[in-house]
Amino acid sequence: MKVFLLFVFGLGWSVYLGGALVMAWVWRPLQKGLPPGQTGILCLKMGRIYKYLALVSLGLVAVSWAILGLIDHHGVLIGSNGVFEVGVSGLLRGIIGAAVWLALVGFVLFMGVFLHPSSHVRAETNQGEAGREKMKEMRLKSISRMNKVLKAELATALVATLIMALSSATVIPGGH
Amino acid sequence: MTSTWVSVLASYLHLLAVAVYLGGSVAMEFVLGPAQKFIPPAQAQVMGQKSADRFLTLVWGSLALFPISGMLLLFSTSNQSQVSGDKFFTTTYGRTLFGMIFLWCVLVINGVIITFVLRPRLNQKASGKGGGSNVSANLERAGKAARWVSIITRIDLGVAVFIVLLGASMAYGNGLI
Repeated sequence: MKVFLLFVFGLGWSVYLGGALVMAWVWRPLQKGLPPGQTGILCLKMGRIYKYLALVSLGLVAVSWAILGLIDHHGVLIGSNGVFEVGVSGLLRGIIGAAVWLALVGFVLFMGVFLHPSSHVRAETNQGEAGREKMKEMRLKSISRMNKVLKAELATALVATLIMALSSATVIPGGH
Repeated sequence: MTSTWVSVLASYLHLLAVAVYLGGSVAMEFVLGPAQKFIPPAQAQVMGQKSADRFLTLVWGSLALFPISGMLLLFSTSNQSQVSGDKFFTTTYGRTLFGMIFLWCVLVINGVIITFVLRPRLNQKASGKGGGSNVSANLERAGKAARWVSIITRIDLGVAVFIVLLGASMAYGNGLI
C-alpha cells in the first residue's frame, strides 16, 4: 500500500514538475519564433490541457501524501529519520507541505483562470482604436505577468522538490 | 554529516531527473503534441523540430543524471553492501536495482534511435533535401519516422512509469522484482 502511494505521489509530482519545466524551457522560448496569431491559438489550446494536467497531478500528490501521512502518523514520505523529519516538527512539516501545495495550486489557478483568459481577449469591432489599444495593452500585461508567475511557480516547485529530497535522505548517524 | 548532505543532493538530482524525463515526456506528448494540430502543417513541423531539439537536451541531461545521482545515492546511504557480489542477482533489492539499470539502458537505446536515426529523417523532410524526384520518397520516410518516434516515445513513457514504481519499492522496502 505504502509503495503504491509513494508511486502515485512520485508520478503526480513528476508529471506536474516536468510539465512546468517543459512550459518554461521548451514552450516559452519557442513562442518568440512563431507568428503571433498561431502563438495565440497554441497558447489557448495548450493552456487548457496543461491547467487540467497540472491540477490532476497536484490532486494526486495531495491525496497520496495525505494518506501516507495518516498511515505513518508522523506524515513523512519515506521514513521517520529523514533530514526534514529530524530537523522539523510534525505539525510544522504538515503546515509547510500544505502551504507549498496551496501556493502551487494557487499559481496554476491564477494563471489558468485569470491571466490566461485575459491574455487572449480581443477587442469588439465597435470599440474603436482606443478600445483595441486598451485590449492590446491588457494582453501584453497579462503575458508579462504570466511569465513572472510561471517563474515563481517553478521556483516554488524546485523548493518543494528540495524538501522531498530532505525528507527522503536519511540522517546517517556519525556519517562522514 | 557529509554523507547525509551528499544523499540530499543525490536525492534532489534524482527526483529532478525523473520529473524532467517523465513529466516532460507527458507534456510533450499530451500538451504540445495535440496543440500542433491547430496550426498549419508546415508551421507545426517547424515548431515540432524546435521543441524536440530543446526537449532532447533535457532528455539527455536527465538520462545522464540518473546513473550519477543513483550511484551517489547508493553509496551515500551505504546501501552498496546490499548489491555487492552475487547479491545483485539473488536479493530482491539487487534484482530491482538491476531491473532499473536495464530499463535505463532501454531508454538510452531508444534515445539514441530517436536522436540519431529518426530525427535526421524528419529534418530531411523539412529542409526538402534530396531533390524533386526524391521528395515523395523523403515524405514517406519522414512519415514512417514520425510514426516510429511516436511509438518509441510511448514505450519510453511506459518504461519510465515502471521505473518510478521500482524506485518507490526500493525507497520504502526491499524492492519489487
